[in-house]
Amino acid sequence: MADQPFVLLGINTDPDPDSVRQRNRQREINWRSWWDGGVNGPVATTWKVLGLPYVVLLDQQGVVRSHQTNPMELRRLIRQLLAAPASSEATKSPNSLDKKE
Amino acid sequence: MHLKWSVLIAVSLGAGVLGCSPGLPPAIDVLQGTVLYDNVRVWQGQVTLLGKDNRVAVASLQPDGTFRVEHPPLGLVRIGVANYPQSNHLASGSSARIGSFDHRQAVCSSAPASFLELPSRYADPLDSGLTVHVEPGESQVVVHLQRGKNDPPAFPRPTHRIGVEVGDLAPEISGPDLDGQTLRLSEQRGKVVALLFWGHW
Repeated sequence: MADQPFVLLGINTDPDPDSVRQRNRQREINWRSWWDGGVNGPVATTWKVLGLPYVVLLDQQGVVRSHQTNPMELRRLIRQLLAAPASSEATKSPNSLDKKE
Repeated sequence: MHLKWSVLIAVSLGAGVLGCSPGLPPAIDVLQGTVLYDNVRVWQGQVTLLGKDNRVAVASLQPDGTFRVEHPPLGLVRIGVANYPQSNHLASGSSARIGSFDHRQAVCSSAPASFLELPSRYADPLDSGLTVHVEPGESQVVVHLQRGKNDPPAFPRPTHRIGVEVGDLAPEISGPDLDGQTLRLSEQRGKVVALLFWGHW
């Protein structure tokens, strides 16, 4: 999906940023991440993240479309959003994402 | 690791309570204070005061970051500040540390989402290193908790709604990424974005 308008951004919840950088290199982690300072950091608090890992999917307008951790379902939703960029109408009724035309 | 001992400021107010006009209720000793952690007001938790006479007083930190104690111990008073998780997580005996991970399941424990974790070294007034001087009458103190390199982050009390629902506009996330480059969520408009809350653990 490298040529698609899609980006994966991380919010890292590890306690030590130096160790995260080191292990990112070892594991060849290639997505950009903010560091949230630990498991109860400000971003995770704002987003009310209670379990990890946790994925939130945003559409092209920055609207939350899914809290989804099932990889297959996530893949389907991402493809669906990429195929049909959310219109302003869809933004107002996010449930339309799950309806088949 | 050497931590700077906390800086404590005690300002005595209202030294002239004696000789108030008649009719007012009798003056009592009142201590009002603010606790700052990494210069951010601590808006959850409990303050324990321990006087030289071993008298103990306890006060809750209010959402505005202040606490108030009537009839506090006077003179040199040791202070402990702790934020204990609500419910009986600690009573279960399974884990002493809130927010810890279960590595087998890689699931975060169900800590309250807006829980402000404080370094445990400040909990016990006997070894927190925090002291204030409490005058008779009304006193105001500011207690500074220093944040060390490996301490949990300080953050102000969230003023907006907690939790992001489907259909909400995503709240802004802005700041340096792990490589120090500024990264703004709002600049990703036009792309489908997957936000992954993750850790190496």
